[in-house]
Amino acid sequence: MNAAIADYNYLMTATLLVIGLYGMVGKRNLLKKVIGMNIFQTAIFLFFIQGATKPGATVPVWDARISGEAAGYINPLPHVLILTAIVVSVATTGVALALLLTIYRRYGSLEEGTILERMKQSS
Amino acid sequence: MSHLPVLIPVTLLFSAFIIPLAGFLKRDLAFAIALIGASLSFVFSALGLLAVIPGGELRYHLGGWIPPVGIEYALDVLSAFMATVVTFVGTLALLYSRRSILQEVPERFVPMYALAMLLLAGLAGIIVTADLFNLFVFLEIASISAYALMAVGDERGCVASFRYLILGSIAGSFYVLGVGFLYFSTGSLNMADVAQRLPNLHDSRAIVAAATLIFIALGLKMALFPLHLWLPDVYSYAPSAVT
Repeated sequence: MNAAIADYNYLMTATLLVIGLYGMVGKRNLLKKVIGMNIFQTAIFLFFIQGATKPGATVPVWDARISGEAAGYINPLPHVLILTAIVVSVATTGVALALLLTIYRRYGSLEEGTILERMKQSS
Repeated sequence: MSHLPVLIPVTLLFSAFIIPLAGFLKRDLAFAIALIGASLSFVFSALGLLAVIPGGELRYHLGGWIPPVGIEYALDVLSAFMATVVTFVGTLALLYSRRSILQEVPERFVPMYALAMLLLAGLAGIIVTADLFNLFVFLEIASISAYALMAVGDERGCVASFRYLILGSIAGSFYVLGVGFLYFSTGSLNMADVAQRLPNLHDSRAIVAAATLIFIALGLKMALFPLHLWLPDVYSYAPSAVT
């Protein structure tokens, strides 16, 4: 319990993960699925960024007062990884929105049920 | 140091970037470049396979950084064989696809080839990389171009492809999460390095969580039994050359 309170930031990240997963799986509206996807991915970014921190460390930029002491800087690698992951997430969102645009033009709706109905009618 | 491991995906990536430019000039030029790129990369994989069969492996350090710090590409017998098979099948599929694309979606001829080359580059990259996070990047390159390729057909293809996109990005995110657990407990992203450090941590719960997450993610991607729901739709609505 105490560990849970001390690491409450991880609890918040887990909450975000679950909200995002629910949005992707549980919601019927396709746009809400995309929003859920973004929340889910943001939670993962936060998880990485939190893992980079150390108590009493500063930003990973050369500082004459700390000099070469690695313990004085936070870990820069997760930040770099997440920079890449953000680019990937933006690309996925772009493709998803482009698909939604085509779907909306054809079926006039983004509700999953309505789309399935209209798909059956047209075929 | 041999450059073969890195040449395989880079040739494909580079031709994927030239194809749209060449397509502006002349449509058939796009097809020619795709074919040349794919067969060149097949030649590189075959050369790599010949080089590693007598034993040993080819390792390439991107940017000259030594592995635990830098990204490493490696070709051993298995990955060289896989790369050869993938690029060979890719080249054959490109050869066949010309007529089928002209029949089904002639107006999207050039983008189809650019996307197909990106997909091949992603697959080749997954095979040759020896870095866990780099594998994620190539996984997403392959997935995103696959989503787009599947949507090229009709509108029902778009709905199927959207479903695939949602599941695919869940899988991709699970994979990064698993890699995150692995990285924070072992302190390394290099596959060989992680494998070396894992035995000391075999009863750590973070490692078990990481293994579970990565297994679910890859299971979703390859449509393993309970996770295969996206597959039938995608195959029935995508243009035939893509499948």
